[in-house]
Amino acid sequence: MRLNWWLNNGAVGGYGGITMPIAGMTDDFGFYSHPWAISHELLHGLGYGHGPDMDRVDHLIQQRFRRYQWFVADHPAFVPEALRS
Amino acid sequence: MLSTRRQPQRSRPRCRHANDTLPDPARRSHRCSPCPDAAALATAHHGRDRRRGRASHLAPQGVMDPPGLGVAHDSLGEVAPGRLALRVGERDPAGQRPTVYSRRALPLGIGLAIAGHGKLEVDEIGIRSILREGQVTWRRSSAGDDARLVVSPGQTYRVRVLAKNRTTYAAVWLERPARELRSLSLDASALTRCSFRWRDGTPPRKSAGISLIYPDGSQELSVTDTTVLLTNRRFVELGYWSSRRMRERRSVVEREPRLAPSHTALARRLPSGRKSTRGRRRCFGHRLEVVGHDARRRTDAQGAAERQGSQAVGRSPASERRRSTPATVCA
Repeated sequence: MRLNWWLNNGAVGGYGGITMPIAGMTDDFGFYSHPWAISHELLHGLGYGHGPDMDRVDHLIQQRFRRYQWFVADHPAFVPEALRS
Repeated sequence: MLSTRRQPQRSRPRCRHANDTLPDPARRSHRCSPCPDAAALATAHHGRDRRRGRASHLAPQGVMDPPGLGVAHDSLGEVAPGRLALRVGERDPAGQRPTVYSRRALPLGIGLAIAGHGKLEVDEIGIRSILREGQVTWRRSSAGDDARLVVSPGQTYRVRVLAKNRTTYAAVWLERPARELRSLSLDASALTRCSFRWRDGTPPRKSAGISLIYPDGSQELSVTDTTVLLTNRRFVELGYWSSRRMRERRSVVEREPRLAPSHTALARRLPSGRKSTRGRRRCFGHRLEVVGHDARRRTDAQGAAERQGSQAVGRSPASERRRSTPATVCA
């Protein structure tokens, strides 16, 4: 799926790919954060329309992000994969 | 959503612990006399329990952490007013539903003892139950330094402790059984010891500090030549600030992911710190270095040497030097 970044504030997703505001990538360097609405737009790119089904899957994605953070909290010896030799 | 629906009144006399969400088999054998501590606490349950029609009583000063963690507040005098009592949920043996049926109130160990560093004053404690997310957090405040933790006997809890004394800061993550939560103690050999120093040529600083971002919290350190951080976490986000004069705006270096110094070789591959001008002053000309003394690695090496016995005598001087040289991470 094609991912574009633009200077607008809004985000757009569809079958052709998704377009995200570049500020979502550059304004937050938190290791546990991710660009705003990227999962929502990603689901649009996968064919989901607005509705309960999309909300449910989006909720699962957000939950997965949160659980990753708590997994790291539970394992103090954790080192991100990118930093392992 | 939280539920405040109360359980309907029954005609027969009720146990005064009826608000506890004991599993049914246990509830049938439940008696009041063995568990007086539980009666002194009002319980808070997550809204999921609404489906089962259980009573939920939200304490006026209670705090609700992320779903499933019940926090209790004293209502009957067991804990002095204004002090906090926490109640941590555990898994229902019959299923995955988080339940609360703790019966014993323990005074929370508001202190962390680390061998060789004495007792540190705890600033913050986070306690997690079996749930995958969230924790109950206690922070030191002017309201009171005392807290009682209601736990389930036999249950193991994950605890995060941020503590400090004059120059030593500690950030440790432990997993301890309920009976050991009364007093928290650690061996320093299990921790990485970090100190901090300015790069040569850095202009003198009037004050400086470090922000450490953890996945479940954060900590602020005041940096001097004698500041030491003890931690068992290997990966943190670190940012720091400094000012040359009083009332000067802080020069801030943006936080970035960082490894504890025992991973020196890896950390040196990281790009140098991103500079920000958030304080309207550029941060050129100074860099903070984190110096690590990994007691755990030395201990492992010593243990291996002891196991090898006489073979350790033939160690090369180079390996000796590597073992004794502190690791440095350039920020």
